[in-house]
Amino acid sequence: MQDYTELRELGFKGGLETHQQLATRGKLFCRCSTKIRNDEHDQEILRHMRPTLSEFGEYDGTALMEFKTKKQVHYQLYNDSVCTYEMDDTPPFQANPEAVESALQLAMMFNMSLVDELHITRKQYLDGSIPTGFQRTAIVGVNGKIPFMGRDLHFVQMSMEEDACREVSDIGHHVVYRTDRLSIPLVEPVTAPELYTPREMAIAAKLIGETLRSTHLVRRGIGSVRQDVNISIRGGTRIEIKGVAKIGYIEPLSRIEAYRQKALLDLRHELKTSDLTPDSFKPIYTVLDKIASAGEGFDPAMLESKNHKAAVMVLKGFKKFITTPTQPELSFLDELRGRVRVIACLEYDPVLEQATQLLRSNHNISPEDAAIVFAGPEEDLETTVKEICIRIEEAFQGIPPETRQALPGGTTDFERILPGADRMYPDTDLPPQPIPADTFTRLQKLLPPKPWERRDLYKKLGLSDHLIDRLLNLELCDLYDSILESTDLKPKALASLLADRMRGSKRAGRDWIKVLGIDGVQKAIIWCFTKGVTSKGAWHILDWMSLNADSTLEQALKAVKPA
Amino acid sequence: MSNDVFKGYREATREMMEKFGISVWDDIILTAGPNTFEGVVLPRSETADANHIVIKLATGYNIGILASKVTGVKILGSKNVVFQIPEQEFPFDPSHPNVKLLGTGGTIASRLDYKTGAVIPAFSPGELYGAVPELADICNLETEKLFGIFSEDMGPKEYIILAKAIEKEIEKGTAGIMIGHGTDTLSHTAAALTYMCQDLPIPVVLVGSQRSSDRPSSDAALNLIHAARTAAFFDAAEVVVCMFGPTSDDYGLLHRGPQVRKMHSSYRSTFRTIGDRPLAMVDRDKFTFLKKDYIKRDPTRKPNIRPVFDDRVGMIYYYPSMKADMIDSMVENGYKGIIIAGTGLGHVNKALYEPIRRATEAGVHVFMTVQTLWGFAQMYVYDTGRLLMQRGVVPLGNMLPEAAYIKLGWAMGVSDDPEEVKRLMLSPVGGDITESEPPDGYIILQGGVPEVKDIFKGINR
Repeated sequence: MQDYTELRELGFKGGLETHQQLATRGKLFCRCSTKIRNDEHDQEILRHMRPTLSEFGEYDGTALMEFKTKKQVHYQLYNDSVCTYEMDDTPPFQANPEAVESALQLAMMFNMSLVDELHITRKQYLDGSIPTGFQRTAIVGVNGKIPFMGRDLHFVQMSMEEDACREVSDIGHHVVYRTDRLSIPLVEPVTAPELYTPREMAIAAKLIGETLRSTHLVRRGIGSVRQDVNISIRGGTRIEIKGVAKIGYIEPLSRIEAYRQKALLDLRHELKTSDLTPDSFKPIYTVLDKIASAGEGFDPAMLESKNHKAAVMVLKGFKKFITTPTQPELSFLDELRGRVRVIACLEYDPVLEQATQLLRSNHNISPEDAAIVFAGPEEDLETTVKEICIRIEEAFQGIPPETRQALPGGTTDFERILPGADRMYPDTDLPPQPIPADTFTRLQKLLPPKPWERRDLYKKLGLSDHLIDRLLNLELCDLYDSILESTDLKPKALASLLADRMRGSKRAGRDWIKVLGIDGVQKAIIWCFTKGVTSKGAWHILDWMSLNADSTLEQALKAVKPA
Repeated sequence: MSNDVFKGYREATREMMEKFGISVWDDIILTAGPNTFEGVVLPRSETADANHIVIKLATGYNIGILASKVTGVKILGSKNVVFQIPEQEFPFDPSHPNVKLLGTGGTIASRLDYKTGAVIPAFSPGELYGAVPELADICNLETEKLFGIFSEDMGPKEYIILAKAIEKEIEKGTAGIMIGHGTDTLSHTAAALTYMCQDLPIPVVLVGSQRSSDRPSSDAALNLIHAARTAAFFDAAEVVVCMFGPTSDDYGLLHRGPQVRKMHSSYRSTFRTIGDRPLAMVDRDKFTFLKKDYIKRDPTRKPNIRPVFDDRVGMIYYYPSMKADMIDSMVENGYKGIIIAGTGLGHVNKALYEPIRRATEAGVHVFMTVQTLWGFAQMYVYDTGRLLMQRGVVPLGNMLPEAAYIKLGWAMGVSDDPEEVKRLMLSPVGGDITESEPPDGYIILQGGVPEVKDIFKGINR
């Protein structure tokens, strides 16, 4: 295991924003079901997004950037599982009370200061992922903390919000979204930037997940939880890596991002000590003829059929900088590529010229120059060179604040400029919603023990970390606790029966809980205990029962004849 | 009110604020027992309760804390708030037509109002240029705010002011007029201006937005762009409503004032021409006429502006078992004109025969329209209709009930002579009564039907 001494010395700092879907029956602001669809959609609508003003009268930087991209946003609709709310053709209905109560309970799990009145706020998202152009979100609690690695891990806040659409495709100026996931309720606990190694990031993510799941109030399965991973190093900038679906990815992503920031800080130093200045680069390009573009790998016939043009931009003396490695197998060129893909909506990645003689001589390119060849509709070419100049200018400043998307292998690519608080404004469609005074005490009583309390308790009972992890992770603690309370079963034997054997049986197709229900499993185990059956015997009895639905315990006992 | 440091706060919360010496826009740390909250104090909406203080957190979120829980406050400073749409000078291009935007209080471009938590309009050319810069590629824009009221508060007084403002603009040689308007009664105003402003030399375009302009997905900007193009370049010199055709951001439809109706409380494509085709489609590049007969733009034409309205007019939406007193009370209260939205081909129950006779004999105009909205009042078909006509009810063909209400108020303003009022009512203006209904004038598709499902596969609703 790495000890991350170097990253600690670089001043690594990380934080997590965990987006966890709630297991409510309906959506947050309409009464649709939370069904995820993979069949063909029934209808499609088309929208565009324009930035609006925040309360303090400023346009948000991300908002303006995304408007520059002029995306055509397509939404796929299902006649029988979405409604006119998801289309933004009907104002929101009042927040789903089940979701509000779940969110408050979850905030209690993180020991937060709870709000007395929910203010639904609009958070602008001009990427189109939400048809209104903003996400409806509200803070339920602030200033939380949980015990973590011998200290406290603090939480800035927890919001309750509607989930966004799922992206189907994003090619050129057209992005397609599916509305099935839109407005599924989420909570988002946000930690303070108090995680000091990539390893701590992963451990914290696991603990947050356990804490959320221990309430049984959250949805499980693929896509039900997504992490935004925030990373900075000393002298660097907070970078947000969006929508990380697996905890296993967090550690490599955090590590690689920290080193990307170091590489960009080193690049800044190199640039500042070179002869170059941001003014050395002008947003100028030359359209290439067919032969030249073919020489750079762009197919002239394809470009012609789409009415696209290939062009070259020459960056004098920039060759050694553009090839500076920033991430494994990626260089500063990829920083430029990400920007122009998103902002200029280029369909193909720009390439560094492959030094065809023709191009070199016609454009007076020296070996020290970087020549970037790119292609797209003519109106996007100008955006491309402007954006390249902007990104190079930023390289002289340091690390631009960005939202980045996670790629397989732990690297990241540009997604958008990191948004600020300027993109928040109150939802004029919904009035503030006071939380009735008795709600807090009522919900407090429903809370399960916290995972760390259980962990301490189970340790005292002599359970191994492996068994404790499984009980927490499989949400079996409540079942375990109540069986233990009503029997004299050995804690370890019961833990092993539930966490190892029941899990093994499920994987082999003998799903106890599915056939018998949680209560049935509990009843069966307690019955076995009273009959003096060993835990191994109980395992065989439950296996038999899960294969013989509607059988009785007596029948199972007779059939299995446990020792 | 603007200097009120407790904006919107009252009773217990205000007392708490006074006690701790905090004002709106202060940056504070608030303690409530074991809990702490840090942020900027925001004004309180006057429609929200008196028990909570609203704080904007550094993350941009707002939260509400019960004032009675507050145990301590630390003031860190105060946030100086500048709050306006970025305003730039609207560029002038001598080659562009001059367009006038008259404001009534609709939300074409807007900002947020703390006091009510609501959206307030932004309107000057500079503000509009900041919000919708594309306008400068279309026209030279001048704006004039005539009043700032909600659509539902519009009435005859405002129609008259608008008609006079249109007359003034025509005299000035303006190329086209836009009117920004809330959508609720937009079609009523469009009908009123159609009657008050006839023989127009230039187009008059009413425009609004269905989804508020403070949202990125608003239809406001595109409607405004379409309307500006229509005012500047459209060839028909008529009063039209310019709003979304489909709910998608695609093209706009230009509807004739008396033919259009708001048909959904929130959809973008809410405005529909009833019983006919819309006049034309408009997009960023072109106009596509859907009707051939229209009054062409002609800057030399002298308009016939008659800004009058007699508001002793009312409308009755007939329901089964309606009693005589509904008609009698209108007559007793001095109403001089009644529009009935009847059932089917223009019918009401027998209980109303006598009160209707009493009304018409007392000189009250009684006209019949149909609550089916589509189709004609053809009162000669059944005995009920014939008996009603005998009692003085005059059918108005396929005129929409709302247009009929507006038209009667206007006609009674123009003339005291009952025969002249009747003549005006039955003379078609702006397509309010048509000789026939085209087979594609009534298209209401039904979901679930296989062929309809096929139509909606693409981006065309």
